[in-house]
Amino acid sequence: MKAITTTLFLLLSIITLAQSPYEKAMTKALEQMHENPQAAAQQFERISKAEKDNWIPAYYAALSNINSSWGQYPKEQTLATMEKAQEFIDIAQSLSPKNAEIMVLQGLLNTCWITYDGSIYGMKLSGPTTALYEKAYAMAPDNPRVVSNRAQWLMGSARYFNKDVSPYCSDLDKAVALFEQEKTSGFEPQWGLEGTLKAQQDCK
Amino acid sequence: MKTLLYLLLLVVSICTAQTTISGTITDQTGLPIPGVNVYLEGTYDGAMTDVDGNFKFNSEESGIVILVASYIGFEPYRKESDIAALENLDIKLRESMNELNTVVLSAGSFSAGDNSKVNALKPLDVVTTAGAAGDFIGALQTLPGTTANPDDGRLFVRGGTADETQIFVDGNRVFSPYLPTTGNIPTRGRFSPFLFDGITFSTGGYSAEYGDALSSVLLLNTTDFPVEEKTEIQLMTVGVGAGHTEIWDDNSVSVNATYINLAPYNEVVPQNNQFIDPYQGASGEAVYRHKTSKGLFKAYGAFSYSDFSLNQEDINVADGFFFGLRNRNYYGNLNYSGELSESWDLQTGISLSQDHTDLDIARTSVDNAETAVHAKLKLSKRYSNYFKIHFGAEQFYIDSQEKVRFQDEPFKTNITQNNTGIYAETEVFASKDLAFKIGGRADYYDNTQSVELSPRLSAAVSLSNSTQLSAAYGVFNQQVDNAILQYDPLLETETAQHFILNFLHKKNNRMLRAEAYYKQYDNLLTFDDAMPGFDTNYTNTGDGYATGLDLFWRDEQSIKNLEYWVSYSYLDTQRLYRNFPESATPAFATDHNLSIVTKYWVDNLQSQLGFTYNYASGRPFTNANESGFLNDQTTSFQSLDFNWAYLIDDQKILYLSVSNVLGRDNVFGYQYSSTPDAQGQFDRRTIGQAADRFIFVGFFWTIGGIDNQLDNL
Repeated sequence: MKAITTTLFLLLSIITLAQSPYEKAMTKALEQMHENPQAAAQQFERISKAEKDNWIPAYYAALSNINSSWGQYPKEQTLATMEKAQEFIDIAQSLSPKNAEIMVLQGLLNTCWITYDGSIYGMKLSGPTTALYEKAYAMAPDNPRVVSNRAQWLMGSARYFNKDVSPYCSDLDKAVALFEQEKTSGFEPQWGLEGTLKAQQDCK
Repeated sequence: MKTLLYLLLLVVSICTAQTTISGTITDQTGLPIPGVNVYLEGTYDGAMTDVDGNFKFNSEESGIVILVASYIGFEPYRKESDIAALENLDIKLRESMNELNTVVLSAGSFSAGDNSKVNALKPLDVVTTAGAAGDFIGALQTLPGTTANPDDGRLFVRGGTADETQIFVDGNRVFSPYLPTTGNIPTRGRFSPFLFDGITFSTGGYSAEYGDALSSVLLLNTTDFPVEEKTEIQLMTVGVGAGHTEIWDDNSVSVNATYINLAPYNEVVPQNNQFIDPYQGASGEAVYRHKTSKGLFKAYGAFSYSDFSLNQEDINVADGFFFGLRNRNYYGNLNYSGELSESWDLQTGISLSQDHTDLDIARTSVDNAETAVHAKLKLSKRYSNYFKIHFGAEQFYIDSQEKVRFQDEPFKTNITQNNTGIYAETEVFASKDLAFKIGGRADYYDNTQSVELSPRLSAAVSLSNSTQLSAAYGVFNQQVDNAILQYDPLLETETAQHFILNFLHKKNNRMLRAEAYYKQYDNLLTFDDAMPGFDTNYTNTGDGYATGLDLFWRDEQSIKNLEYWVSYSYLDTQRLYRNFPESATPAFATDHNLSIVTKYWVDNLQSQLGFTYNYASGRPFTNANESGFLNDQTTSFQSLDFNWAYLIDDQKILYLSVSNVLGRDNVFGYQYSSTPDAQGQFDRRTIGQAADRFIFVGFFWTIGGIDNQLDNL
């Protein structure tokens, strides 16, 4: 009995030992996302290349690149970053098809393209983006990121047509409540509360 | 137990065996690159280079590893090595090529669509250019290199006739791209502009992929897989239309139908032609798309019907004569494009077209039928970003029949062609600042059993980040028109050589493009009758030239909410062809052409207002009261067009367009009496505008809840 326990303990510790580099690397990358998005993107890229069956590192690699694509960098760099983000969205999607979290990323990346050149991509991507958010919403109506980003996208369209944005405010309230209840395990996506609170200020 | 302990010890010992990997990363010119991602493939071990391009990290790996250095904007670097040897490395990265930093082979070409440096038009421009009234052919006529022939409506490029431009949909030739019409009533393109999301208009020097076109090709790419289901309704002053898109799994179907009837419009707005049956037309289109794991299959089908009749004025016939036209057209193509592997792409398609026109002209009836098939296979191999090869083969089958009944005397002619083309082309980038395209095609013409070779070359060099120079040369062959070939199937192809020099400057949403060209025509068809027929003598002994300068300036930066472009073309051309008694500038070619297109977005009206001004210098015509051929010139053509698109909300759009707002009385030419009057003078009739103005009002409504009318603006 003792031998079995020891064996199990040792096996477990070896497994833990084997797992920890992933956890360590992911934790470090997540910490870097705010202060050094570029370093974070690279770390996620490395992990994604090593973890060939796991959609989560690719997801974060895409997200970090999207965060660098809102027009704060020169055009050429933005273009390359957006292409990189798309590459990782495609990887994540092939590993986890029909994932509402990844659809949200695609919606955000489409918005980056529209910001990049509205006169070309506004026409091309606004319809598809709305359709994408609706699809994600139908699949995961209780995912706070789906609820919040869909509402923020619709508010953006409404603002463009000089329409009232208040119909979407209740969605933002709902999203905040969902964020507070959200229980995620491991490295599953859990961002978005901050942006939602900021978007809520338009409702006041 | 012992084994386990041993295993544990091993794990620990591996963990502690650390190797340091370090080095410096620079670009080709020796400048350090900060921010490069350096790592061992398949591990999390890696680091980012600092401001001096230095990196350093530790790894517990051992033996042979793969070191990767990757950075946005550079080609990835890979090195397989023993881990112990990865110290103090000196790595040079090669800049990768993207749409913004790479030279573009742009001589001759205009495109509308994606994020390419050479884009002159945006997809939206095609439908929001005042004067174009939703016809993409009309929008292209505001580009330099085209000659305004508003009484015809087709594309006339650089001294070429409209027949010298071939139109392709998804790589397949369209055999009758324009709606049928009669003299002096401008035609329109047959296809809805909303079908396409990429348009490339080449005014010369185009790829070896395209043959049988002397002057120009227009390439239209249909939109890819749709992402939204929707229903659309169109109410217009000239008719109605409806469309629907349905998506399931990896399949989608889009259908639309339009009915146009100009009778009510003609009642309200007087026309200069005396219509008996005003124009009416019905058309329908359907597209089925299926996504495969590595590609996209498209099946496209279109049907259109149109008819009209009028009393055609004629200086020699006191009360004019009856002209009636009925046309049926079917067009379909099947297309597949996809990846065969990482580096091989395949594109294949087949198109079938059937066109049937019945004409009644006074007491003659003409019954015209054409069946045409085009099959094409194209392969592309990408060796690297620096070297690509394209090659392919195509087959044409064209059967054209004409039945003429003159005073109950039937007469029938027929011509069948079976032509084969093969081509190959390589694209070589010596660097991101210097590129070449070298290729050629061979065409076999069945009737004459002859092979024609057409070499094509182009090159481009960057002068700076925002300017580039490019050049193109090519030989182009085209078969003589079916209407003539049916009388003499042994006529040779006509040829043209293009020499093009292009300068492009693009910076901060401003673009300047200047292109000089020289085009040499040879082997042009000539004949010795007023009207070609069986007894006419045909030869291929004509020739000619066209040379000129095209300027294009587009600015969407200087004034907020205003976009405008200015196109100017200078053209000098003469040719000896058809029944010309001597070399002369043809009536369709004008020396100077100018277009100014403006679009102004009014924020608080949610409206786009647009004005287009067109100018063309006088057109040559033969003045029968003076000696000589094409010896006189009309006054200039000028037109000011206006449009207003009002976005009522994200699903409804109201559209108004008025062409020739000022109602200028433009003259396109004269028809002279065949007999002189008592004073020995020939009387003449003015050929002017079909209508002084054209007014169009349309309401477009998209139902489906999740669509956005921005698609249609």
